[in-house]
Amino acid sequence: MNEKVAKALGYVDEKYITAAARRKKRKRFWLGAAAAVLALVFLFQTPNIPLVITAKAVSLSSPSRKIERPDIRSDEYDLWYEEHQKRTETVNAAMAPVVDFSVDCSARVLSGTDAKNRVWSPINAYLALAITAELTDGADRQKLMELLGVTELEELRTKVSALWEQVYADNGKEISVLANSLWLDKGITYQQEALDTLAYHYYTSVYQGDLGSGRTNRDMANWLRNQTGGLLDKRTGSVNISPEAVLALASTIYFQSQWCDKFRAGNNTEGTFHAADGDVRCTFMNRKLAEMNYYWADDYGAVRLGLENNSSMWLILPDEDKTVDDVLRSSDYIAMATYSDAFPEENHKRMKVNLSVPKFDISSGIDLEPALKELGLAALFTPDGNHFSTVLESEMPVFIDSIHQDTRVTIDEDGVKAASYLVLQGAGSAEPPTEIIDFILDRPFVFVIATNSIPLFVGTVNHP
Amino acid sequence: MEDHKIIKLLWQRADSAIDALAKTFGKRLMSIAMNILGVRQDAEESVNDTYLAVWNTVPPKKPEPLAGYVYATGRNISLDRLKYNTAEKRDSRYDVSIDELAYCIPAPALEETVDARELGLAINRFLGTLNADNRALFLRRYWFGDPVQSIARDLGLRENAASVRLGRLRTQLREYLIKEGYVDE
Repeated sequence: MNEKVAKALGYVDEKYITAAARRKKRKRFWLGAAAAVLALVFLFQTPNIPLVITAKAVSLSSPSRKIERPDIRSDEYDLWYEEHQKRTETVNAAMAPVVDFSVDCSARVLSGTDAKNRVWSPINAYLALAITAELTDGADRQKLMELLGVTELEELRTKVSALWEQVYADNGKEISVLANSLWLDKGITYQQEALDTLAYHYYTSVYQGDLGSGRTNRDMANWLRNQTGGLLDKRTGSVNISPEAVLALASTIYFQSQWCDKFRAGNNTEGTFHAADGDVRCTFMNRKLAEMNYYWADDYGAVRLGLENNSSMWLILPDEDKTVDDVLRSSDYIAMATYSDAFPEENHKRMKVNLSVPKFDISSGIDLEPALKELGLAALFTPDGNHFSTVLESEMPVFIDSIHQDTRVTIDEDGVKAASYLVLQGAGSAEPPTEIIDFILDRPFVFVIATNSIPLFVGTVNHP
Repeated sequence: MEDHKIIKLLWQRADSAIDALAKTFGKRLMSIAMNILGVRQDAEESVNDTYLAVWNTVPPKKPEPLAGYVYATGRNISLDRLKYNTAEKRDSRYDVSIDELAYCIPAPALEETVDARELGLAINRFLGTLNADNRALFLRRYWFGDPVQSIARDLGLRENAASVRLGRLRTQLREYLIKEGYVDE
């Protein structure tokens, strides 16, 4: 026996040893079998039963490594706290580039003073691009990493894992899940290790099927439906990947949460919203003399509505002489919603607010290609070679054919429901003068939904 | 029993701590010892020595995770015992797995001038680049010395697939060590 090698192995981290001793059969093998025998489930389309995906599961997303918060009196609390602190530090270190990316892209994809509602998920797009960085190499990867604000791939993996885990919640009060899947065309040769890396660090599942066929389109639609709680049924039902595509990336976020302080339906009023294309009648939810922080910057005033589990919805109303585009062009609103130091501490005040916000259910489909090209990623959309050679072997050019995100956000008296999916296909005003303020969102406004200071959704309500 | 409860018993110097260690880690410790020593009596003595070593070091130590610490202690004790054993104990499962691994390590990394610690830390860094499944596969084979068949069963792989993946991991390790500067002449 080689004693040096035996001795050298004695320096392996004990955490790895513990994990290896505990590691057992992964879920995917069970799922593979279930997919084969439970095809009937598909026929019933029961909302609570996940729809079956018949495509080959190449590598299934790792289960969440986030430890659920135990009771503060329990022995496990210290362990949880340590893990939580460590993750929060990693997320904080990752936040600056996420915020920059959110501001740059939101201004590009949400701008418009017409009567269209627009909403998108910056974190969803950030994750999709991080996955793309993992799949590419050379100049493509370099460009993506610059845009994502990281210098090393390992740094990106750590930060993406931490962001995913920080967003993740699935309990009785809140569901907040980012999910990603990579779809490979049949016959494509892939590197298993690279795809296992995606499954582990990026919580991404990889499937292989006949891209562009009705069956695989249906599989993708089922996967998207499973991840979005059926909220995007109308949109996800129409997945239509080109038969020429060799890979497609589907990225989703599903968010559902309740207001900490619910609106009372009895306080609702019918009122007028002054949309760009004329006045519209809608239902307003109201709170009278609610004590809350009122925030302001050069172009807007804002309030934060608390949601369960450290999530918030920020309602941002441009000043009377400003537009939603003025708000989006400044980075103030994201700095405010993510509690960044860049937002002046003195620009908020505890006040009594008469709040009036329209109930809305908005959805939009956004083509991210123009924005990403403007941000320096044009080469990835050029069919001049295999941009994904790190993972895929193909003699044909492999490039991004389209990148599209669908998002829907709905708010009512109880809380917020939001879902987003993205398919990436390869081939200061003055301080308010009084202690009581009327905050009436009866003209186009901006909103941000953030969890643990991470911007999940940014949108404009132009026509509720 | 959970790690922190066993540590609590050890710190309280409670006799039941040894029972708790045996109940929680005994089976796996025995498997490590058997893989290395190949003889039941030696392996049982090695496992008992491991409990004693943990009893003597906790406190003052408060290892976390405890499992990794106990297994590492057990492995070292079994390896020490192996050194004193005669040639008849050769070709244990562990010999086979370690030699399998040594075969892929570039010769410069095995030279006398290279310290085992240096090589060990490089292997540890390599393990950090793997996903949890591949890391478990690698360690079950080369750290625990488990037979491929039982690893494959535990990890839900076919035996052949596990062997192929282990072969790939050895190649990756070799390439990693070469990148770290252990270049063959």
